[in-house]
Amino acid sequence: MRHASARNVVEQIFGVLKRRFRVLLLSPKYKMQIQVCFHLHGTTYYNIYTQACIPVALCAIHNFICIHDGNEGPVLGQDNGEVAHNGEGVGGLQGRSRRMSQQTIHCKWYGNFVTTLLNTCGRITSRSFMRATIMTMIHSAPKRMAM
Amino acid sequence: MPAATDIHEVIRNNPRFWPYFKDAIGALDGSHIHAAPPSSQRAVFQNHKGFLLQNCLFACDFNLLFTYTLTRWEGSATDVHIYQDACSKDLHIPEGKFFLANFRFPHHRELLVPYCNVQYHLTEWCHAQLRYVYLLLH
Repeated sequence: MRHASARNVVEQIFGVLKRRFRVLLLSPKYKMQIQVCFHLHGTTYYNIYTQACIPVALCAIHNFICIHDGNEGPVLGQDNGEVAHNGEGVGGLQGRSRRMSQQTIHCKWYGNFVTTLLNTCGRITSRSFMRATIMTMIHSAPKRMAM
Repeated sequence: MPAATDIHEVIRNNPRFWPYFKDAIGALDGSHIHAAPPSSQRAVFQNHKGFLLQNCLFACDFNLLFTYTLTRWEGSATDVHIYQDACSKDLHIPEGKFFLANFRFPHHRELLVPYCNVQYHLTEWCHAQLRYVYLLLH
């Protein structure tokens, strides 16, 4: 039982990831591999497996959210708005509704961010184009996001 | 990856875990994620239920942060194969540390797996879980 409850974090994190990024529950529209030639550490690679990159990218975004906006992580993982696991109070009903509206804004923004990133991955033309897209998305972020 | 002397604060602060899992650095598990492979590879991407999936290996620490991911394995692959592939590539576990894993993973020095075919519930929750007794007997 102790082993099971200690191992529970990995099941919990799958739930958080698949609940936060619903794209993981759908059959992706992107090609399995894109013919791209790029050089890394003196080796030439030819294929990018786009669909394999999606979960990795979303994991990185999940880590980013948890590190830089720590209050959001445990709340999104709950189904019924219970008290967070780390003992932080949610701050009453009013605070919770305000947090929920902020979460909605952020979720929408994250969704746009991911969609734009993935769309860009499908047609990588140049690195500067990719950077410009990311910078545009960052500038359109909500003010509370300090990036 | 944490250093060999680090003990995670979640483990340290929880008396249920403290002496037993002091060398645990997280949990490891596989997950199936939907995929749309080309038709030539469609057979190997089916799992045992017939869905088209890719099999991914994730490791996380006790703060709900991912520490390792390995994707793009076929849905028909088993967790043992993926773990061995990860070990041969870039999954480096510090000496003396281990991950918690479920019974589908191999017995390994870096993995702590539960005993197979043991109903742990029976000893601790025997009254609440009587249906397991029924399942065992039949």
